[in-house]
Amino acid sequence: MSTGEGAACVDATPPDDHELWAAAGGGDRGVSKAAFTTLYHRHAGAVWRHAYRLTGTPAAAEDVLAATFLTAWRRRAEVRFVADSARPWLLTVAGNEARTEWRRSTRHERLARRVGAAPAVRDHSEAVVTRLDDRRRLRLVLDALESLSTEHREVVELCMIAEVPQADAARALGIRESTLRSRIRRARARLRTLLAEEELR
Amino acid sequence: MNPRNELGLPPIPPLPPDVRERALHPLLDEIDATDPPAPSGHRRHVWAPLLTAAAAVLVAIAVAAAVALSPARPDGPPQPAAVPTAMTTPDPVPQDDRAAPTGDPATDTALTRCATAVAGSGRAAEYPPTGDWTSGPLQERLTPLEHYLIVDDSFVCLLTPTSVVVTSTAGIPVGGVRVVGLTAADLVLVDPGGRRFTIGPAQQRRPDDGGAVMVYRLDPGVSVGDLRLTVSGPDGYDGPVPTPVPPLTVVDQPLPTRAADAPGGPELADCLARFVPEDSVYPDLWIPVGRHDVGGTAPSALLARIGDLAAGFCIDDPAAGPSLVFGALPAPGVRPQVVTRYRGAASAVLLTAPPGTTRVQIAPEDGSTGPTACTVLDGLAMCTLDDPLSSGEAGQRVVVTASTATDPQPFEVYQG
Repeated sequence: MSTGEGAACVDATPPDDHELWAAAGGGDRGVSKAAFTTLYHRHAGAVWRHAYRLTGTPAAAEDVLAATFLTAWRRRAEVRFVADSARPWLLTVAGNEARTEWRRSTRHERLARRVGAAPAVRDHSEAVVTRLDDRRRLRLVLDALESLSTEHREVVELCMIAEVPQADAARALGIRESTLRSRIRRARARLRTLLAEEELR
Repeated sequence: MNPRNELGLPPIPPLPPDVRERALHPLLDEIDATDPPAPSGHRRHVWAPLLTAAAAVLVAIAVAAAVALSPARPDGPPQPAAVPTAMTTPDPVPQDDRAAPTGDPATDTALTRCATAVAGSGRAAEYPPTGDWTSGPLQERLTPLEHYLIVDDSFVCLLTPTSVVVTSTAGIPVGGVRVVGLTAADLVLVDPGGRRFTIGPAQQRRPDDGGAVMVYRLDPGVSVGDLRLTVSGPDGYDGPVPTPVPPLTVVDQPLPTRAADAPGGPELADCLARFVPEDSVYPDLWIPVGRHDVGGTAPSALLARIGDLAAGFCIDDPAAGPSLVFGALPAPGVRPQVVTRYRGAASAVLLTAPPGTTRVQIAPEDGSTGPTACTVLDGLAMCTLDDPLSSGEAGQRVVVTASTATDPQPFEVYQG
């Protein structure tokens, strides 16, 4: 960022994501590192919240957080900015990483079930009950998400879980806002059915 | 705490500061390990003077010689490098003629190499404009020495240490499927209409993989004449596989071959003899670079490399005998990076040793013995450790540490 009015002028406006991304892709490793670290600190909190919602455990969310920024660095040429912000795109990347993590962990659980049931642990404290309810709800939602098409899952993750505004989500996904709204409507209806069926079981 | 959202998901705690810091480290390591953009050909510095001279000769040959198709072998498609159909300058195509970046530097480099080969072959008109190419991910063929790309869902570009092989866009489809040659052991089936087909010898038919381009590898001892192709549908096909159209082969990176009297040559040849020709290890291109022998019980090893493409070592494993273990050389970085490792009755790790590497050591992870020095040689670091307790199958876990002129405090570069 520069005011273009000579060296004496100092622009105190922090660089936007677009500018940081361009700096990160340059040839100077020191500048790349500083620029991408700034991007990381700017968006790590949002990516963490999204990852936590999509995985349900702090350990998995930490893995997804790290994987998201690694992938973002490796695929930095593919970034899609929304009003000079990389956040919606980063959240899309995080969604993909979380799905990989979720499938890995559920495969592990299925294997564990085949090997033998884990010993039952009961704890009657209210906090634990709430946590178990949360886990159960999360599992229901994530299992239902797995049943959606990729197009519907993407819009649910961005708009209904990460709560990205619809206009920004549409631009991040490269689709029209009307298309996004239509997908949300259909995905919401499908999710209602799936969640109701699951809760009845 | 944020409230439950529309889906009833629980509130999320804020990102803990220690997690924030921890998750940043892999990213910083990755950025450190990423080579900044450099002038073209920077990875081939060892052979640069030789290649420059060779390129001049090849350009002269290319100008003087008429480009001819390589003849198809009677029993299958042509060998990729045995009969070059064209030679080209290693200067990459101009930026405007390069495909849009894919986001993966290795794929981009490979795509540029393919485009350069096609542009300089005199047969560029047979392919779409190189600047418009779109590619799938870079895929390894059999070893880290060979990779291929599926371009525009219509042809395959195979990259070997010395040449680029590009499947033809010609050929008459049978039942909507076109068959072209890639190597003596690989056919490519181009199926733009998404037809369902099977191919193979009578009892081992393989179905299509659902993609527009499928690489079919012939099993050892099977020739094209043994195969049958069946394409379903009203205007389908059921019959022998048509003679594959040969590919365009361009020798773009001529590399020296090992001299018969090279020091360590016979030993290396013994190690390489364990591979069969179909393994595509390019035995003649491996050049010995020196020996690792630190005495004591640590096994010795002979280091070898193919230019800046791959490095490996020949180790006389007490249980398995002479074995060559190799890997692709990673992009240059500031810290040592693992090239390949071996765990048998002995443990061995081969790493890069960037300029400024002062010391590399290997030790058992359990600390049962002290560290053993590694040999730093020709930009590589070779570490071996005897494992007297191993059964010869799993080997022991080791830790490799390194020091550099700018970072004299030993830091861990490998554990496993």
